[in-house]
Amino acid sequence: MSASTNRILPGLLVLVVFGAGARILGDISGLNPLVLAIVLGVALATTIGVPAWAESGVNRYKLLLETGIVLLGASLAIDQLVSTGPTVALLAVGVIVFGVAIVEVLGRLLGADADTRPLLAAGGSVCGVSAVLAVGQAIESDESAITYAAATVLLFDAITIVVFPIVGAVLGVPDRLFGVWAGLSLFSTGPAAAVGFSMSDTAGQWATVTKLIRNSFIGVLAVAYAIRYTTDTNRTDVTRIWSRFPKFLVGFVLVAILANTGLLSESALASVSTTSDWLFTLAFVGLGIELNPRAFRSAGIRPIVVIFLQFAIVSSLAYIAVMTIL
Amino acid sequence: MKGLPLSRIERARQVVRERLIPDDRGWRATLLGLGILLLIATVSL
Repeated sequence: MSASTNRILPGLLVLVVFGAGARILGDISGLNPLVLAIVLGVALATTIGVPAWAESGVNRYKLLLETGIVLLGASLAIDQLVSTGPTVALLAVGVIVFGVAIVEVLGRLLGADADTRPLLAAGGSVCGVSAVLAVGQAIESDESAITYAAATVLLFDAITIVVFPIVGAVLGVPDRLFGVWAGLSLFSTGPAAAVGFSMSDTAGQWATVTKLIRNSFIGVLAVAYAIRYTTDTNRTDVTRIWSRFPKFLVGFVLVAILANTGLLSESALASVSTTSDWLFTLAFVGLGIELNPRAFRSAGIRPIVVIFLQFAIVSSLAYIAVMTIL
Repeated sequence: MKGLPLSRIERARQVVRERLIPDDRGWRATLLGLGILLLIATVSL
């Protein structure tokens, strides 16, 4: 085995052990195994912590999450996506434009740091930490501003992953609409998928697809901010938009097309779906570890207030839009 | 420090450092996903 494999394997084994534990507990208790995977991840991080020898492998959970999303494409009914997709895409654009405007305006009113506002706007409106970093690089933010905004987004990921399913259950939102609502409202892909799947498979699939549509705008936003904040015209290059595009979307679409051609048997599609479920379970253990609440004790108040108001307003409007239009 | 929960800022710094390094995770996820799909399709034939 290569040195790289030796470094990653122990952490992956930790994810497999805790993931298998979550599935077994789920079978015994009837609780959602994906939610249990997150709970076990948080429990590990807050009690004994992740051993140094496992960190490298555990940190690879995002690759497992993205591979799970690629395979989730096999569960997608293309005809349904074609009929609903344009409306969802329009709603995603509305959420991004409105979300950015709210953070910029509220940030000014509440005195949030000028360097941090674009980063919070991107993180809250498009795709969490990835968007913070993309815009941070585009406008050449310093590392402390990027770090601060990223920490705020991670804090909200931890809160919303607990609160959003409760609100959805109280409101009694139908599965598909709940999925779209979660995909439009939550900051990061992992928590959006987790929140959706905590409700049902249908809600999870729609939450993921909606979030992916929203993520695909990250390159456009990064370039828009580069135009606004710098005079370097090379930054508007199309290659910059492509460099920020989440590439696993390509795999997701390819798998969806292959699955919808009818070339794969029912049993093959069921196996792909099971594999995707397992990858999500392992990834959600890692997500739970990253969402360790003890890691957020010293959060600064202004960015948190701005992001909280943005989330509350955008999520409420998205709820009204989803329940009215879809 | 290893093995202990990181402070908020330390954790965020770590995330920033990891993400600032250009990576091809999205392509790797695509290849891995397509590879798994191909494997399952072949086995189920």
